[in-house]
Amino acid sequence: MPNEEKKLLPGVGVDVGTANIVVTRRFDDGSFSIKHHRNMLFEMDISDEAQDLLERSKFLYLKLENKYFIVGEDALTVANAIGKGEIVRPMQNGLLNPSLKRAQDLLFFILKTVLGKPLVEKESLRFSVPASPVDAPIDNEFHKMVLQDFFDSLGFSAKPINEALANLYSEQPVMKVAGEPDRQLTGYAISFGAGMANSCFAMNGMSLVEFSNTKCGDHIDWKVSTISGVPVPKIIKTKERDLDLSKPDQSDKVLMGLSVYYTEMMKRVVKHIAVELTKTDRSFDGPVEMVVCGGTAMAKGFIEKLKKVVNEIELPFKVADVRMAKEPFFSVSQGSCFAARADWEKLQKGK
Amino acid sequence: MIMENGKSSHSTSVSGLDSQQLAELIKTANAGLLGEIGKLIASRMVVSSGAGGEIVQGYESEESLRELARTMASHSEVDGTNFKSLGKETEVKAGDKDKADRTIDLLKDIP
Repeated sequence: MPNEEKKLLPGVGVDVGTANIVVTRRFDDGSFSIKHHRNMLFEMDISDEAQDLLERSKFLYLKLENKYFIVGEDALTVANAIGKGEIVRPMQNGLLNPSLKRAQDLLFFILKTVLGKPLVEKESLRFSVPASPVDAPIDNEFHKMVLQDFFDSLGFSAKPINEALANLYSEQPVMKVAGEPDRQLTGYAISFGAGMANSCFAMNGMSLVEFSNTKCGDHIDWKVSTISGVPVPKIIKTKERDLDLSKPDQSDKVLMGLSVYYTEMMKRVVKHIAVELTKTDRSFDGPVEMVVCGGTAMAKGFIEKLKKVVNEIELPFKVADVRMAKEPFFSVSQGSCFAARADWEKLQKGK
Repeated sequence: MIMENGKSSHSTSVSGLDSQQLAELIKTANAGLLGEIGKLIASRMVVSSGAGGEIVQGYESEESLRELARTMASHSEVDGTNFKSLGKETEVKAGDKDKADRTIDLLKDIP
């Protein structure tokens, strides 16, 4: 259907990630309109040189107090070109970055600019939030409240959604029970983000267990930088361009380091799944699909490696298959969009 | 439900903060503080599921925490910028539209 004939439906999903912000809306033909932005900044003091660089380049930037912040992909480009200085993120571990002054002003401006205005008054919006982690003293309740108030202040009717559950809604895993039709929206979902790995087990779309693990993508980059002496922006570029987890390159300390830390993260996450799901005496009627998404999961060979780890660790349920989301980078925001659409339709029905 | 010191209660806790300290937090709210508040809250409670109710030990109600959240949400504008919109636009084709529609129908039944 040509774009001009398609109509966007009310109900927007926003993946507020540590590394990326993704906004998804759905057209009436079922296709999606997606806007995404790399959630990173390169900070520069205000000086004649900095002003000159920004005037002569096409880098996108904003000015706040006595600093320039180059935003998004340009931040990574500049950091790699200059070879010094650090990429900073408005968010850290799935929450606002406590070490960045005015992080919420920066994040909210960026979010507002990527999201745009509501399609209709009080348009339903779902924004992703991490679950509280099992391995760090971090609580996300206040973070949820602040984001909900922020989106409401823009004219939306906002609700949080667990990041892994959003992935589950997008990827629709099933439980396979002998002699019965597949049980829909039943399975395990994991979103491997830059800050955290978020896990969720759901039955018929109802979330039963949710938790997160810290020390995910950004932590891996930082650890590999520490052992190799290579700056983080270069590690990110190498990871995105050259890493293949099925063929660890032992001659390259960065690629080898990445492979080692990826494996460690997967084992840690899967072990925690075993621990969290054996805490209650739960029985499972059949094997379930495990669906995976997130920027950190997009490394080549990730799924094969994860399948191996899942096979090595005893879980309280059988896994029918481990599969990658169709759109691993957009899956959380697409699932959030489904939930927002359901909210909207429920609201219209109730009127 | 919140577990505090091993005891279950239906409350959100910011124990140790008195009204004056909270007012000060609201007045000087910034991102670093937000992270610190998250840590502070987390250091004093374990969230077992959901949230709600009142703040115990030192401050009165969840409404106070909500007030702080509203203050945090009313952010300042930036001083200048060279862009009006951000983000790369991509169109993703519909997968199985009927399946997606059925998923939305299922989600409508979830409270």
